Amino acid sequence: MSPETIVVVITLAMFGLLAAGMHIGLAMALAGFIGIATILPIDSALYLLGQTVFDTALSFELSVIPLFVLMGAFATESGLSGDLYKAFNIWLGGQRGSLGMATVGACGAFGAISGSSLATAATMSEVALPQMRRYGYSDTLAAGVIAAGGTIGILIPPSVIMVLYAIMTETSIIDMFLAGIVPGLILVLLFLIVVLLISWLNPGSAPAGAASTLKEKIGAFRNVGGTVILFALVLGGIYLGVFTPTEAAGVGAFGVWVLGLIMGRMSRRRFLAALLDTVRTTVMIFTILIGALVFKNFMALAQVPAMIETWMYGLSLGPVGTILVIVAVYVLLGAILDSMAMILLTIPVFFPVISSLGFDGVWFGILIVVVVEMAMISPPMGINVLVIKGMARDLSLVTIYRGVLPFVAVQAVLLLLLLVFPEIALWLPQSAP
Amino acid sequence: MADRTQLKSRPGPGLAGRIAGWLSLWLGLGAALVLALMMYVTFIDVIGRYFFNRPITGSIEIISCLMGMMVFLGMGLTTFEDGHIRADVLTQMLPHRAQAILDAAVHVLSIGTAGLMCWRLLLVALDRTAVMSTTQVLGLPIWAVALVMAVCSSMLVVGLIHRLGRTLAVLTGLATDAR
Repeated sequence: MSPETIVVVITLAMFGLLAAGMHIGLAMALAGFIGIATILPIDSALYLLGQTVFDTALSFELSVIPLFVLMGAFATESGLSGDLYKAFNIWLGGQRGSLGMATVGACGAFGAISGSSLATAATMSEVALPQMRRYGYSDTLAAGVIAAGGTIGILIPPSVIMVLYAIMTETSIIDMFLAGIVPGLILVLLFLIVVLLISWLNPGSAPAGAASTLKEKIGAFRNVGGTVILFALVLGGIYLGVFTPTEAAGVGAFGVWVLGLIMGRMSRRRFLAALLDTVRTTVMIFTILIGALVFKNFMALAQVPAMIETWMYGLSLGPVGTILVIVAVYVLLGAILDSMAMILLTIPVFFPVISSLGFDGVWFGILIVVVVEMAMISPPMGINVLVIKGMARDLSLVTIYRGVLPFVAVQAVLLLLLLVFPEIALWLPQSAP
Repeated sequence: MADRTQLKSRPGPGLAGRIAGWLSLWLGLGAALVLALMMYVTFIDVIGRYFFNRPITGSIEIISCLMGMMVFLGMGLTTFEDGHIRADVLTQMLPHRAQAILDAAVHVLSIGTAGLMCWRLLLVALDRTAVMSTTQVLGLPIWAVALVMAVCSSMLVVGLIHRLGRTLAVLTGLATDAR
């Protein structure tokens, strides 16, 4: 068999295993290992496997992942999402659509202390869904705004997906984080506009919440002040170069824990629950990561990036055409694959192509995060949608997907903006001291 | 809401299942402790560096070692609870029985793959132990960390065997639900 045929067969076999429901990390590890064994002597392939497992788990760089996950878990346990939601509600007062807009705001703010969009969607559906329903919001809008709002969490730093991308591509985690801020804020703004438009076009779907006085508005700062300061500390520290990402994550997690203690919400049981949940998530991430790194080794040894490059040049799509093809591939993959697996699986193939075309690695990373966000709320694998469905069983999937549509549309707008104006993402990291 | 300080999955019938479940949970609690330590070390290191000009020497080595231990101490917990991600959109469309058969086949493959990884990790650990390898700055015993990792990684295989057992129970009609 020619090297190309081997690569194609192994890749297809891996997708077969994935489709059959094999654990994603193990499927990638198996395919990668067999692939390597077709290129190197079996002893070397086995040696490489053991070494990859060992080195990945012992990596200092990766310790940023559990610490950021822990920060989010503490925030969830101490009910910070509820505080944020309440505060935004009070600030937006009796405005029409205020509860929906407060959800977007709270999702953005919670995303800034949590690195996962699943956690954001889950905790917000607990907090915001009952409120919106009580005030007579349509189920479509209520579920849609939470599902979509949840995705903001991976664009606004800290973001686990960004860390994984940075590690796979050897891009700076700090640059990725900083590059996500402006697009994240733009997305929040776009989502707010969507809610506002819907509440104008269809006033019945988004009635006004309770009005509030100026005194209440100022008072609302009290409960979220700590969160805001902490967020400023973590991101400001990263921006100014005071903290490495791991340090920022450690300080952030510690800070949220202390905040929970001060507010009297961090019992021993909750502390333990947050730790255990973080362990669960970290193990899951690392299993996939190890598999992806084995697979990446195979891809590199088989010189797949070079193959794809030649092939793409052969299509003579030009740089922009290539990017569009890649985005299309992601949309397709997003329909069947989990977002994290999708990034880990494809980056070893696409990233070398992208860099050889002269595109900025950080910019491409942000672009991919936005595509992943869209995949998270698009059928059939819209994971955020499934999470909300799991928490509010009386809502139908169709209702939630219909509610999510306008938000997917503005995500596409953000994607276009990023394609046309890369500075949106790159300006902040380039301006950092 | 379920108590997340407990196992999310039923240990299943039989002594072996119960022991495996119990072990997963306790090793998971160990991982939680190690994680808390990681947080404290990072925090104290940062505070020491910026406020007292006295960072923890070799904090990077400490955190790396804690990382490795945490990931593998927690391996049993995640596996036992079926917490690893899979793409199951397609299989969910199959009839129940076909799903269970496919699931069993996939688990056999997974057990093989996991076994291979654990075995190679054990060999790395034994290599390190033979030379008593340590970290450069603090001289932490990497060999011991590697041994802990290798031994705990077997919980991935144990957990997968447990899942396979649950699937087979569904197939043979002993249980209605693989949870």
